[in-house]
Amino acid sequence: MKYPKIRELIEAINAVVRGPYTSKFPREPHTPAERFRGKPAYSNEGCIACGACALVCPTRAIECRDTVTKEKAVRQMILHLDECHYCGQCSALCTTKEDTPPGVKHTLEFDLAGFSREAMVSTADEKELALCEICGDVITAKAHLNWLTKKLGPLAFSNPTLFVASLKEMGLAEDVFQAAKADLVRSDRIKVLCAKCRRKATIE
Amino acid sequence: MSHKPVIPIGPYHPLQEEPEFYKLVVDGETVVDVDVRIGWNHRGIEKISESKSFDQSIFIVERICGICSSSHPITCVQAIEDIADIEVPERALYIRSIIQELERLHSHMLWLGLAGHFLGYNTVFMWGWKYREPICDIMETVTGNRQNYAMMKVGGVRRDIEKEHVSYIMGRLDEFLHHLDMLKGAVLDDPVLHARLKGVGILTKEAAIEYSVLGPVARASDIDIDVRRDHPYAAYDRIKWNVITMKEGDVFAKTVVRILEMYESVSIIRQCLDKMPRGPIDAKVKDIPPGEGISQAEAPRGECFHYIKSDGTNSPVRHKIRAPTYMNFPTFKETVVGQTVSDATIILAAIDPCYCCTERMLIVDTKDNDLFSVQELIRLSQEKTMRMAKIIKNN
Repeated sequence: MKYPKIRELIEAINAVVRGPYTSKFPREPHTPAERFRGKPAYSNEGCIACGACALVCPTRAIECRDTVTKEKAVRQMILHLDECHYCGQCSALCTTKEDTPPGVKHTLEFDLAGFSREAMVSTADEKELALCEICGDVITAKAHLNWLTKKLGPLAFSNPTLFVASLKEMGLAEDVFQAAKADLVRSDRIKVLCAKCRRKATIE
Repeated sequence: MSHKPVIPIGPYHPLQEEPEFYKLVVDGETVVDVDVRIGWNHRGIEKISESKSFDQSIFIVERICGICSSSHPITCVQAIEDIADIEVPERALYIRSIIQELERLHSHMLWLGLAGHFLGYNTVFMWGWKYREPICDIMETVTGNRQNYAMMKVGGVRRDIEKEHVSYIMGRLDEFLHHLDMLKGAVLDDPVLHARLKGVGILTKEAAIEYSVLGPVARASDIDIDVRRDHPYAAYDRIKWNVITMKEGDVFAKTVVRILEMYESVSIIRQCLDKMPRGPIDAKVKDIPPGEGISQAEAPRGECFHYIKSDGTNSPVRHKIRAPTYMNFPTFKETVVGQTVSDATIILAAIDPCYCCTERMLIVDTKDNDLFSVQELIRLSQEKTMRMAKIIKNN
């Protein structure tokens, strides 16, 4: 009967001497562990706006917003932090996760409370889109095509879309946007085409 | 039944802060009958899971419960692996075991604290929650989160346990073990707890078998079952450990079983860290073929069961989940009846009920007249509308 009381007394004295076990959080900053999954942040250099993160996100918190007008055709990746549950799928399955810097990465930032949902977003810069030269459909971001060309190396010459897109990037080919024609001819194959038009140009 | 006073607890439990509803029929101080109603909080998790891909559905089952946030995913991934016959790398199995046991440690610690709080023994509450922190710290270091670890993956685990983590985990576990000794002493040496818990809420072995209880509740009633040993998964068949059983079946036995299980968990984690082979942590997964898969895992509260049916597409066609508390709930009829109201609180808490695991479906008993079924509620509502319509017409 006596021993339990002594044990509690020792623990009580310990607690008094050492002070509170809890951290003094708001006064002293808190540093999370190295692997902590905080706010996912896009890198403007690393992100190629391929949209892979939006596909794998379990809560569909990532929006892949394409804006196609006469003046500009751009894609922006928007991660809604209020819908995100910080599972780490976007950074784990990012296309450029092995590059430096990776496209999207979890930071140690955890203090994300706020008053407006609109402000709770994590975004990348707008990336220019590559449009199909026949129908004007969105193919993917130009950065994505360039990344593919770089990754494939000489193999990219077998794919006219990648090849012509990289020529245009270097300023060696003119950017001509043609209105839709009734019939596609075989010469149309050497153009930046969407999958649908490529099938048409090749088979029909 | 109607002339006896009824004490309702719920629909929001004042102590456990979760949605549930108990109806205690009392005669003076003694509880004569108990009625448990679940289904206050329908979250539609099974349906959501069916709309996600296999890889994504693991994250929704992870969020069924904040405490068993690795038991449900491990059961889910094992069921998917069962469909596709995926062989998981050895190292991944060991890591799965480690995460499972760490989760058991912190869950039992949490329960112990809560039990102490219910009894008014707040020292145990403070110690239990204070010394649960090392486990949560290990979780944050290894997995990146204190809860909802996102570790399980079809075919393996998502993150490796690095060399520096091993020494860190060992160090924190030593620290934890010291505090666990202290906590064990505080519970087992305390004469008040002996007097308060012994012989309270006895669940006999026969009754336990009849109610098909699971987990620590069954083991406290001398039923020697444990999924980890009986249907080995992860790395449990590769290491030595004991299944703890007690004969009494009262609340005290349930407490002791949980405390002793924590020692086993620490030993399992240490053995796993020692024996863990090098190698990949992740198997290449191809398509999930059409088929059915089942899987069990020993969650801190008992056996967790998942059934997944695939039709060859990327998402499950049917995902059925049975949480351990669902089986342990009905034992209240056996344990609470005949006890005093003041004992009822701890008996209701003794099975470590996890409402969020169980509160995923609506169960309505239409035979009992003082329960309202959905149809009855609709009828009542419609009658009221008609009554009000009449009043308005007359005016």
